[in-house]
Amino acid sequence: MIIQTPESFFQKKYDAEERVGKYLLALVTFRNGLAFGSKFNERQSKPGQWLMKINSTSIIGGVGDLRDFKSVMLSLDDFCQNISVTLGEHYLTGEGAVSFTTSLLKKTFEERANALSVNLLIADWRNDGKAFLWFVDFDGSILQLKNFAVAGGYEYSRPLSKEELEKLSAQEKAFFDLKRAELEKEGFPATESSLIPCKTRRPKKEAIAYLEKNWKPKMKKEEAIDALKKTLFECNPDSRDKTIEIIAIEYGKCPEFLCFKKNGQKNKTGK
Amino acid sequence: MDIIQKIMQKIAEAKTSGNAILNLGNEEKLRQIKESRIHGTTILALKCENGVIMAADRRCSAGGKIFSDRAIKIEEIGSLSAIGGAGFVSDCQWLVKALKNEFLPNFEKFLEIEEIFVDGLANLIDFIMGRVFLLTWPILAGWDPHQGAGRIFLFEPGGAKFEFDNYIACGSGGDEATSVLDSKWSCDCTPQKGIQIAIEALLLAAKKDLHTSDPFIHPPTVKIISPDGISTLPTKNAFGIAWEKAMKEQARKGDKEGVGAFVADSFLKELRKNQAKEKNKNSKKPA
Repeated sequence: MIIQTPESFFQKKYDAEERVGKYLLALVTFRNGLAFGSKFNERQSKPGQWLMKINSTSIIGGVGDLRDFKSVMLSLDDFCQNISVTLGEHYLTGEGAVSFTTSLLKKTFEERANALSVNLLIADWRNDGKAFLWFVDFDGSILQLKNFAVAGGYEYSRPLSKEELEKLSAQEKAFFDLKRAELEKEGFPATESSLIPCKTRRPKKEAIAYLEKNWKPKMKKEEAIDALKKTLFECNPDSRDKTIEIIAIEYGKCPEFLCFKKNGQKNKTGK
Repeated sequence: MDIIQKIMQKIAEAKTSGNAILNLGNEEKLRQIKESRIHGTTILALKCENGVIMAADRRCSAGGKIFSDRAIKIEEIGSLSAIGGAGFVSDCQWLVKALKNEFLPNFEKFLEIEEIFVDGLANLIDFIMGRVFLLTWPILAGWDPHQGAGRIFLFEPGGAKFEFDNYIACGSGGDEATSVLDSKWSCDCTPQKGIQIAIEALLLAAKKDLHTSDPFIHPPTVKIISPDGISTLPTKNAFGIAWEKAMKEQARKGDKEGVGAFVADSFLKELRKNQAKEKNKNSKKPA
């Protein structure tokens, strides 16, 4: 039995945020479809491994811990099969997947020692091609969204580089000095990493702000892919591979897999 | 708790006549199942242009005794489906109650869907009857908006599901009703013609079967399911059609001794008068 305390909830939340990580999963809708985009590492990932088809008009995408994502997907697959048997595939909806994943994630977050570290994006376009989007957090909270959605991208801090330190204004330098003096007064050793000036980034907020500016109604597929590409390259934390994958789904057609590198070169495509 | 777990729990807790006989020997079990198939009633469903018609007699009996001649054996489920069944009343009622009060609301809430139509209902009943032993033979009929057609299903106590293209009748008067449906039903059947055939089938069933009530004494329940919804044939109309048919039958046979023979002429005259009056009224109404 696990004794749950307020501290354990904070710890679970902190751990889950850490494991979901700072990279983004973004979804943008266009005139007759939608596109998912995320970081892609050819050595570590298979194309489309973070997506699962629920039925012919709904899909689920995830970001975070792959093991947790797979365990959620296994349970969801079971649920989908049960609904298909008891009612039929017509009745399998995005809302159903949201209800199921929410209850599963909430239950795990509240009852287990560790939360399932995944953020999910669910899309359902059964109503005349109009897509309904949901964001499901690792603690089971939901957001119903329109037009675009972003998952993952939790806040993180990174130490400033030498060049960035040099570029700081006098006011900013004074602020960091004051902060350091306060910490030293409290007894922190000078080598402590927290004393180094850091920059806090919130990739998710940045991506949402970017897409709010750039998303247009009745976008073409190419425009949506472009917006997604720019969002991911601009808002994702810097990483060595700098490659992203975009999966574009036109309603009623086969999904298209695209892979882009930061220098603008299209790397690989497939269906 | 997951929706499927909830349903399984409800099913596990079911106290039905079917479950009660599970402990009996195989022979006794088989006898009970066979009996349930021919348990007193006549329920039928037939397809017609743009819809389905479902009809049932009103008699509720046990052995040689009549409990009631006013039982309503067809229940509406949702806006486009209806169910009725032969067999043990308790099991049939359990199924309808469980569907209406537990399973469908739970599914509709969980999946956030407006309504579960006849296709989903058929799968669900099949799922339930495969897990709970119900001594009943339900007929499910309704309009399927996904296919844009009327659909008719019959289930057996073991959980098998059968879909019928044209019509089906079950219960103790089922065979007689089927013979009428066989000879009278055609693929261009209109709802009006369908109602006539259904009542005629019930008339014949009542004539031969002790457990089926006479439609011209206790007007049958007739439901007309179309894409716009379910309507029930008013008792007066059902009664009128049944009487007309019964009287015509008596006249055809030249029966001069039955009760009908005394009232047939006057009844038919009055009926025709009323029909003429209604026609006049309708023609006088401004367009």
